[in-house]
Amino acid sequence: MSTDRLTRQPGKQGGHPLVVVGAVKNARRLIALNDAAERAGLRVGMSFADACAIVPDLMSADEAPQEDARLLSAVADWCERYTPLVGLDAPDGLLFDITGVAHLFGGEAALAQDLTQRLAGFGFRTRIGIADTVGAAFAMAHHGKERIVPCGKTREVLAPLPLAALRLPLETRQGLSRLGLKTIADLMACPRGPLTARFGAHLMRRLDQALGAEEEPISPRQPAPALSVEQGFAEPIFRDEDVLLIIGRLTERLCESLEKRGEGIRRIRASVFGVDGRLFRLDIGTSGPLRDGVRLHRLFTDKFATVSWDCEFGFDCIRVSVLETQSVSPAQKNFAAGEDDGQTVSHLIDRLTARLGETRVLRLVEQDVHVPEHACVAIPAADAEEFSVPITSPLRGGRNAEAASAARHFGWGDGCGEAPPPEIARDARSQFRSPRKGEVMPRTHDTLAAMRPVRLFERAEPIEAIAEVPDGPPVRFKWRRAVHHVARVEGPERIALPWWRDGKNRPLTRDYFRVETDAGARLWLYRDGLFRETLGPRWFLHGFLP
Amino acid sequence: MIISKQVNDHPLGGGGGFISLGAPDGMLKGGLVLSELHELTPAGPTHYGAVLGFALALAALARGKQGAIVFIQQDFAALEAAALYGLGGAPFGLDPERFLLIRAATAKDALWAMEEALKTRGITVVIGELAERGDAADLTATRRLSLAAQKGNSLALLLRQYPWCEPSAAATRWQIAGAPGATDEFGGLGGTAFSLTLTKNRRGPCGTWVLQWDHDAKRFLPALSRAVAQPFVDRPADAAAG
Repeated sequence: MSTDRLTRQPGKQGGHPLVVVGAVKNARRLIALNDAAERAGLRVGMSFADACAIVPDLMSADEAPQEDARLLSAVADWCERYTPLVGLDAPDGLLFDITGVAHLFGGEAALAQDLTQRLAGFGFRTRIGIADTVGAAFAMAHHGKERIVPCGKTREVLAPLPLAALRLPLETRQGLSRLGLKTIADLMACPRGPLTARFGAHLMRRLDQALGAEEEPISPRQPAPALSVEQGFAEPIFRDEDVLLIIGRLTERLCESLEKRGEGIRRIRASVFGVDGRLFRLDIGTSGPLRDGVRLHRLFTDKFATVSWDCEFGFDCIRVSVLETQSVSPAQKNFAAGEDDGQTVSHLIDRLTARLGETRVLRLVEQDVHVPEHACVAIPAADAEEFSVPITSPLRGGRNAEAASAARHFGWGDGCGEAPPPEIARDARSQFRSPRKGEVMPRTHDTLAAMRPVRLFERAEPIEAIAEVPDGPPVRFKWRRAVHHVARVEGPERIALPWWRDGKNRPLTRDYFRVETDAGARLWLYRDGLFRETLGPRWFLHGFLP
Repeated sequence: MIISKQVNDHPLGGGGGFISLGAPDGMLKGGLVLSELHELTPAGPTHYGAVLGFALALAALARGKQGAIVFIQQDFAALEAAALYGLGGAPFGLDPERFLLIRAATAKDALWAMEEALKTRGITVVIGELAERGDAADLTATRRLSLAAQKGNSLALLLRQYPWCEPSAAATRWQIAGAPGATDEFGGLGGTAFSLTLTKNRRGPCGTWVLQWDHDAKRFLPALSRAVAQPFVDRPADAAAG
C-alpha cells in the first residue's frame, strides 16, 4: 500500500526495488516493499542497513502513516460503488459487506476480478478474499491460495493456513509456536480450556470469529442508507446539466418508493463517481419530510452551484441515497389556495441551508436568562419549529403562558437550572426553549421594560471611558479611535453573571448604561466589574440602541 | 379621491400600498412604496443602531403582525456593526420568533439570498446589510431586487454602511442618524427618534425630517425640532434667568 502510493506519484516507475522505512523498536526497519524489492530478496521487518547491503541501489522513503490512511479512505470512498457498507481494516485493508450485491456484478468471482482490475488500473496491487466471516476473508486475503471460500466450507479451507491468518498478536503467535502449534488445524484439534487459561480469551474468540461461531460486524464508514438508487453509464458524462438531470431522475424514483412507504426525506445524498476514482458527495437536509421531486431537484441545483468539481475525465456512476426519513401523513391539497409553486418559507429555508450551510440560516429563540448575550440565541432554522401565524387567544396558551409570565415577572429560573425552581418555573422554561407550533404565547410588549439594543456584538468591544468613580456613568469615551461625548445617560442596569457556574473564576458584575452621544446616537455600554470586585474595571461597548 | 387614484396609478409603483411616515408622506406622494427597494445608510459608525431601528420600524409598519422578517447580513458587516439582537425588536412590536437570520459569506450570496427571500410567499420584509459601501449592489443588482420586491409584493431594505453615490434602482435612499428624543418625566433618554435625510426620491423632491417613534401606538410622530420649555405653571421663578 505504502509503496503503491509512492509509485503512483508522477515521475516514479515501478520496476525498481522500492522500500518504505520506519522506526521499529529504535531500529530502522522495512515496513513495506514492492514486487521488485521482494524479488531481490528483501522481506518486511528486515533492518534497513541489511537491505542496503543486499540491494546497493535501493530506493527508500520514510513512512507516512497519515498519508497512507488518507489514501486508504479515498480508496474506500471509491469502493462505495460496489456496496454501501465499506469498513476500514487499518493500516492497509478494506472490508466489504457484499451480502446481496454480488449478483449485480455477475457473481462473487466476477466482482473480485472487476475490483482487482480496476484497482490495478489505479496502480494498486490487491489481494481479495471472499468468505462467510470477516476473519475467514482476512485469512484468505493475506495467507490463502484461493480467493473465494465456498459457503459452509470455511472450516476445511482455513485448516491448513498458518496461525498468523487469525489476526493474533505476535506474543500469542510465538507462544503457540513454542507449543508446536503451527496451523489453524493444530489449534482446532487442541482442547479449548487450557489454551484459554494460558493465552487469554482473545485466542479462542479470533478462532470463533473466523469460523463463524461468534459474530463480528463490519463498522461501515458511512451510514447505511434506507433506500438508494444508482445509474451507471457506458460512456462517462461531463456536463453539469446531465449530472443534475440524472440526479433529478433518480430522486423521482426514490420519491415514488417513499410515497408507497408513507415517508418523506429528511436527509439525502447524491454520490457522483468520477472515472479517475474520485467521489463527490452532495448532502441535502430538509426542514421537514419532503418527497416532492421538483423541490428536491431545486435543492440539488442550489447545492451544486456551490461546489467546484474539476473532473476532466467525467463521471461514470451516480447514486442517490436516502439517509434519513420521517413518516408523513398524507395531506389533502387545498385547491382554494392555488397552485403550490414551492415558494414557501420552509422551502426557502431548505434552499438557503443547502447553498449556504446549516450554521448560516438561523432562527432566534428567547431564553430565560439575564445575561444579554445568552438571552436570545440563534439556532439553525432547519432544526427550529416551522413558522406559524401568532395566535393571540388566551385559551391556547393556558397554564403555560401564565406560568411563563409569572416566572418572568418574579425573575425565577435564572436560566441556569441550578436554582431550586418551583414546578411552575420549569413549565415556563420549557415554554421558552422551543416555541411550539400552535402554542404561541400571547405577548404584550412592556413599554416601560428596559430597552434592549437592536444590534449586539458577539464579543463586546473594549472602549476607553472617563467616568466618575466608583460607579458613575461615563462622561466621555473613545471607541474605534474616535472620541464621543455623552449627552444623556440612563442607568446603571446591574446584571450579575451566574457566579455559581465556575467556582474559582468568579465573573464580574456588569453595570450597563444606555448613553446618547452629542450626535444623537444611542449606545449600550457597560463597566465590567464593580470597584469592590476588581481594581481597574474595564469598559465595553456591547451594542447599538435604536 | 382623485388624488389617491392618481397615486395608485403612478407609473413609479405604489400599487402594493404605502407605509405612512407622517411628515415626509407629501414628498413621497402618499408614503413609502411598500413593494419596492429602499436604501438606508447610517450617518456615521455610531448610528448603526438608528439605521437598523428605522428598518425595523418600517418592517413593523409594513404588514403589522404577520409574516416572517428576513435579515440577511454579510459576515464583514456583522463584524463592523454587530448582528441583529432578537430582543431589540420589542419596541417595534417584533418578536424574536418572526426573524429569519441569514449570515452570508459574500455580498453575492447576500444579494442572492435577498432575491430568493423576496420571491417567497409568507415573507413580508427582507432586510439586507452589505459591508462597507456594498459595491456588489450596483444598478443591475438593485434592479433585480426591485423587480423581485414588486413581484413578491414585499418590502426590500438594503443597508449600506457608507454612502453609495453610484446609480441604483432603489425607489428612495435615506441617510439616517439617531436624534435626541423628547425626555420623559423620569429623566431618561426618552423615546426613540430618527433624523432622516432623503437623498434620493424617484417620486418627488428630497428633504430632511426628524421623526419620533411611538412605542405604544407603533407609529411615527413628528418630533419637535428642539426641546420645548416647560409650561409656566410649576416653573421656579429663577428658571428663566438661569
